[in-house]
Amino acid sequence: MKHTVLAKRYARALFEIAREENILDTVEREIVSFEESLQNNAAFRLFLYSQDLSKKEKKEKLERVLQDRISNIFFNFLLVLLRKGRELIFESVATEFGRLVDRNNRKVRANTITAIDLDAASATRLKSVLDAAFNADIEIQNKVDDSILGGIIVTVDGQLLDGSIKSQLSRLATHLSAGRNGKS
Amino acid sequence: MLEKAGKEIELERDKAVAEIRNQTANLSVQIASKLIKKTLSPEDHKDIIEGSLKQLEAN
Repeated sequence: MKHTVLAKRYARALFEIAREENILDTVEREIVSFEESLQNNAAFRLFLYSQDLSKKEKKEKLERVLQDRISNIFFNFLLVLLRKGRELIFESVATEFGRLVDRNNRKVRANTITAIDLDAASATRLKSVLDAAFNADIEIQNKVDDSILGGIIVTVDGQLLDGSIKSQLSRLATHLSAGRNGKS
Repeated sequence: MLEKAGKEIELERDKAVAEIRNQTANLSVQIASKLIKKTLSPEDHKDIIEGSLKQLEAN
């Protein structure tokens, strides 16, 4: 569990830096090929995951083999993992990184309805929740309609999520009128 | 004959009860809607939206 949280954090950091530096594609390629090497090359795997080699030894070897062949960002990321003794989470980080890249590449529109105008903070929060829920880069078009009374209605990919007070009340009305109809 | 009349009365009564129940429910909801519209502050709205988002996150 903790493993995953940690991997997510590392992946997110690597992703943000790569995106800022505009080398997301490069880092993605590097991370994929590094992961492939780990999976296909037993000697490499043994080396990286070895408990007997010191951090220094691993670092020196990685420097010798990789330093000039991969981006600084990915290389530094590997060094950070080594320094913290977290080589074992590399594969989880790679998986999570792939997910973030997919999300970034998938532009999806969401239509939302709220009873009041969303301020910047709420809009940002809404976007980050929707991004994660649909694993996509969500573009939000919000409409204000006070007849929904409160809460939010979201339509994404033909999927409707109705968290409005209006619909909660109408569920309540149905419930009340159904009651124990007639058979008292 | 009497039995049939009794059944019909019972049926009518059931219908009336259902109708009253229906109307009461609708009225209650209408009143609730009006009250909610009047009393929710912008902060309340934010809290409610946040509640929906939390649910979305949990699923």
